[in-house]
Amino acid sequence: MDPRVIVITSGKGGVGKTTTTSNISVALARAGHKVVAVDADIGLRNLDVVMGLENRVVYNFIDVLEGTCRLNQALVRDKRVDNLFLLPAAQTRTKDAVSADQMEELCGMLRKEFDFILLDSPAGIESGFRNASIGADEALVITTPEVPAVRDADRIIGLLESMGKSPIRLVINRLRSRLVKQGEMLDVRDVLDILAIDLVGIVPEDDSVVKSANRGEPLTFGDSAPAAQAFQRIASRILGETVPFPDFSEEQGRGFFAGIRKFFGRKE
Amino acid sequence: MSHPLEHREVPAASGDILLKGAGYGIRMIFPETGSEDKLLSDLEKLFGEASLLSDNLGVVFDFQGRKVSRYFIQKLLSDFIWSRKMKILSWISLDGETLDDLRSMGVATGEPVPERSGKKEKTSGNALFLPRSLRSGQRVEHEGDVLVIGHVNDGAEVFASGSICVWGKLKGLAHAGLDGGEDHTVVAGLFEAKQVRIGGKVSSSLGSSMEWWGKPVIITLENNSLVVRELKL
Repeated sequence: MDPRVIVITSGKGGVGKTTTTSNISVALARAGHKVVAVDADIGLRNLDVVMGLENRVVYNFIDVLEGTCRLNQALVRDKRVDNLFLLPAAQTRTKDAVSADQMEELCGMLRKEFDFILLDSPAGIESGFRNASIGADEALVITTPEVPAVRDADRIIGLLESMGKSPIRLVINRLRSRLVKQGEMLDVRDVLDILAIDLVGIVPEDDSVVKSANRGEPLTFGDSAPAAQAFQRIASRILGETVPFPDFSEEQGRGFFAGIRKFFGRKE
Repeated sequence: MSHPLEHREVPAASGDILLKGAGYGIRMIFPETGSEDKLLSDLEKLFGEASLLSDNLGVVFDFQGRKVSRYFIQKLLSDFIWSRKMKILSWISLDGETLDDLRSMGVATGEPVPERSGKKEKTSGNALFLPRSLRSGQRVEHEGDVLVIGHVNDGAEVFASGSICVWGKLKGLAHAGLDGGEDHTVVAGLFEAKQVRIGGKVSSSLGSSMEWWGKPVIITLENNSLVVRELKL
């Protein structure tokens, strides 16, 4: 297959770009593809921590571009799964340390080695975002169902369209269907109505995401958490499989008390 | 009465001649003091720098109480008006002698009256047809009317010297009559904007409590107030 370079971006910070990058990378690698997750957030790198690989980082991709080391010296192999690599960012440099041409050059080098190159973009619309996106063919836009995040996603989609990225697909992260039911959160239809791009996944709010980030163990190494299953489905859709979207409103009230209510036939 | 476009007031390069945007175009206000030679040189600079004067806008010369010589009027005509094909709407003066000279020339000397809506449909320039939605951060500015076949999302902006018609949802900013024209309209297939502007009038007290919120609307400027009506076809 031709290598696919995908930028994961959002505009707004804190909506789950790094979580999505790490989990989808693991899921694609577990599906048998050779994957590299590139931390394109120079100066604020996090992907190494979320993937639990920070203690193995020696070089970063700026070192590669400056000729300090070879590409395979900077790549950190994840020993938990075959074919998964991390290419870290420099923590002690700024976004200006690389140019768009250099990022394209880097993507060109990675295309020769990998099936999937996932670029974890920094927040914002400035040079960091542009450099992260320049070498990508396609984009995943992450948003939470909140008005400011959706507006920033809309801004980013406009910029990605003007850069000729295609397809640009949407991940709605941290959906809380209880709030949607109460009318306190935008529902999926509202978000799609505004952003008008293809939806590739919905990830429900899940406490295990926080725990996994702190442990440095992407959820998709396991299969049980609702968010893990959502990221697995996203990876499958990226691979071209047709996977139905579950109805998350049915997932409300999971757990012990919900079980008791169900047993006694009570409705909330 | 304060003029709705006073925020567009632009001092000339010298600081002496003032330009004011107005419903009919530009009002050029000459100072009552200072030599005519200096004014002529200031005008040269002004026409060199101010691109708005090169547009086909109506201009009003307001000499205030200044006594203006026939030589100065002749220089205005030969060096600026005829050579640049300016559209002079009126020559206003509070000085009796100057006013007599102007009247003897046969030019208009009263306040220009802007055309009001309802008298005739007004279009300006070419219409811009946009068969797509505008996303947050995207901005369109056009001399003439703008027709958006799509949505104008929150954070997008449309500026038109004419009217604006949005086929879909208007959630971003629409500013019709950018050059001060007050007889333009904003039409939206579904109105959810937090602010709308026509001419120099800004309405920002909009919200979901309005009865026409989320409905098709037509917005006009009437008696210096923005009027929103539900559009029923």
